[in-house]
Amino acid sequence: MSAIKHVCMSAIAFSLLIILAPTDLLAEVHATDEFEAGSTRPVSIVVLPSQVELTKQRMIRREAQVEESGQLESHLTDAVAAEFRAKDYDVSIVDAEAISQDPQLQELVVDANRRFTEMMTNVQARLKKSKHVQQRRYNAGDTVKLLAARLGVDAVAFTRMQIIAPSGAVRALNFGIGGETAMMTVTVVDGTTADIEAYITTPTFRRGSMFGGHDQIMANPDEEMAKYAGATLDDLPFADPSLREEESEDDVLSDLESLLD
Amino acid sequence: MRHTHRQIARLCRSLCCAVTWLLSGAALAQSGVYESLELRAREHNDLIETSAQYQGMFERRSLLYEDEQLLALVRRIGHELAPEPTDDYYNYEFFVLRDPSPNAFALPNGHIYVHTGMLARMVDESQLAALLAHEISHVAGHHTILSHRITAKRLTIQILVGGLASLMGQLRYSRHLEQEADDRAPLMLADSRYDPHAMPELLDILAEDFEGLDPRIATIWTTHPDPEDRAATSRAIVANMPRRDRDPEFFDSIAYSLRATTLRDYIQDDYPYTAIALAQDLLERYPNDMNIRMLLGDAWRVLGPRAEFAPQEFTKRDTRRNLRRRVWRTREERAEIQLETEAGQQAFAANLEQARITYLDILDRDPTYAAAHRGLGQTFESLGQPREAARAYLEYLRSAPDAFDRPVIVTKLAEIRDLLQQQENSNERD
Repeated sequence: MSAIKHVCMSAIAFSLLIILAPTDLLAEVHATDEFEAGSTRPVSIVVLPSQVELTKQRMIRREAQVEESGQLESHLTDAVAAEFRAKDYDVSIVDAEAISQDPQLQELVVDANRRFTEMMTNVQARLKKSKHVQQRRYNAGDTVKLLAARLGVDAVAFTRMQIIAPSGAVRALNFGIGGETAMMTVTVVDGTTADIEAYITTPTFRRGSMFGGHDQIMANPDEEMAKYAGATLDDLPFADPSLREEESEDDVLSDLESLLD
Repeated sequence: MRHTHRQIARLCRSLCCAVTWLLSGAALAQSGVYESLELRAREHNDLIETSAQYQGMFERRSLLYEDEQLLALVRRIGHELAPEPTDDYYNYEFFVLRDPSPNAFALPNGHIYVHTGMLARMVDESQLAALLAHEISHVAGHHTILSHRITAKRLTIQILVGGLASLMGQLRYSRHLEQEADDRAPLMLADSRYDPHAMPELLDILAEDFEGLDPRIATIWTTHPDPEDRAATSRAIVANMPRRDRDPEFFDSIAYSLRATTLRDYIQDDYPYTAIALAQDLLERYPNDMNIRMLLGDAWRVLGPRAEFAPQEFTKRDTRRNLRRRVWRTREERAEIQLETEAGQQAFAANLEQARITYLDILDRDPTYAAAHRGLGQTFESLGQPREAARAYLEYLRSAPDAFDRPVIVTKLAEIRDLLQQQENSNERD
């Protein structure tokens, strides 16, 4: 009896949560108004190597699947780049090999990733992500500006993904229901201001339902990652160079010289 | 009274460790002798193979620090100290990871990783040897495997019967293994050509808290013993051991590049107190080093409205609060809050003045040092002096026309131009 009561109460609580939850919590694209309007939407973008954490949920603990995570990372980076290309962005990828051969680039990428991780700590700590992104609360600092300048792009895309795949025993214990969760975020950071222009997450209701399980992901990683990248970046607006204002360096410098005289 | 409480707490902790040790069934080796440990089913896959895979992950994320001279030094000392492996599933290998936090860790397959942030704070080879001896003790004592076993056991107990006591035992056990590695490292050093007195010095370095953010607050949840307690215990162990000659200059020459990189990391990661302390220490030895002087100026600038403080003034509650603020507030928000206070405004003016003096000092010593103009521009910009900032940035672009950060500086100049135009317009209206 108490078990039925528990299930009913949980169902009611969950329904209430869905009804009362601010749309902000369920949103997939948290972007600035300027990004939506197009004035800060990039034309060229570099997709940095994505970072995937695949964890196997065993009966008594979770185990990081380090090698498999690595295999998924390269597929995910390609899949994200393909989604941006499909929306007319001029996309470049810097892979681990290119980074390792260029000490300056390596330093910039490592620094940018560390700074991004720090910034994401601030992002994750707050619930109202849309509001804070719109207010330009989050800035990745000079490192990202330097990286964008070095690569000659308008923006830098950071991709993160966490997958929890239950083992067979755990699935059996759950009567085969669910258990997998996969959450992906793509963050577009402006190369000029280092502000987050768009923070895009996998739609809330698709985070657990898209994967058939660990074996299916690893059997077909490119397709699975493409599926997930597609679902996450589905609402990304198209690139539109006509909306983006660019100013030449000469104009800036001559204006300034005359103001200082 | 407080002292007595600490002694009682320490006694209780020791008793708990002893009980945990007995309950765990782990056959830890006697001092100086390491025993073989047979892997159980799946442990090879779960621990040894996974450990090897981390190397690939660090490579993919470009986190391996590849300075050949420094790597050679770490590897030479590591192999000098490491005993013959007792089992064929591990082999000692030593790496340096690009991470400014003062840390190091050992994996059960014998791979030992030292963070750049740890190496940057050391003064000589003996301190590095002490660190490696500590990590080697973890590998030789099979600590990760034993810890893995006790974790599995305790988690099973928790699932079956529940209970916090089981988790407590697991954490106590982790602290016990850490203490064992601390105790064994000086013995290993005493058998080598390195100074065992470097071990408590190393633990003193770990206890240093330049930022007032000490995460090593001793609670029942911590996996490591309190660093000050560790240093005191270690000091007692090495008290009667002979001292050996040490050569900080040799270590300095090899660690120089790493120190400069780590200083930059501290500035970028918003740990300016640490950067200032390390830069000032380096400048005492290398007063003509413009690169380090430039980093010192950058650190003063990044310090912004933060006032000087003595770490001992902070209570544990203060350090916990400071850590929480870093999670909840962005850098800019923290600075804004500090700038609302009079103390913050005074600190801001003083720190930026220090930065300005440092950059001017560099230009005095070497007028061709272009980066100092950029530093001056950033300082004036922070102080709300756009004209001076623009002049300094323009001077930077003239001095370093091919600098790769040129587009970033031009963007700054465009912002300053807009600001100056607004000011002129409002002046005209008035």
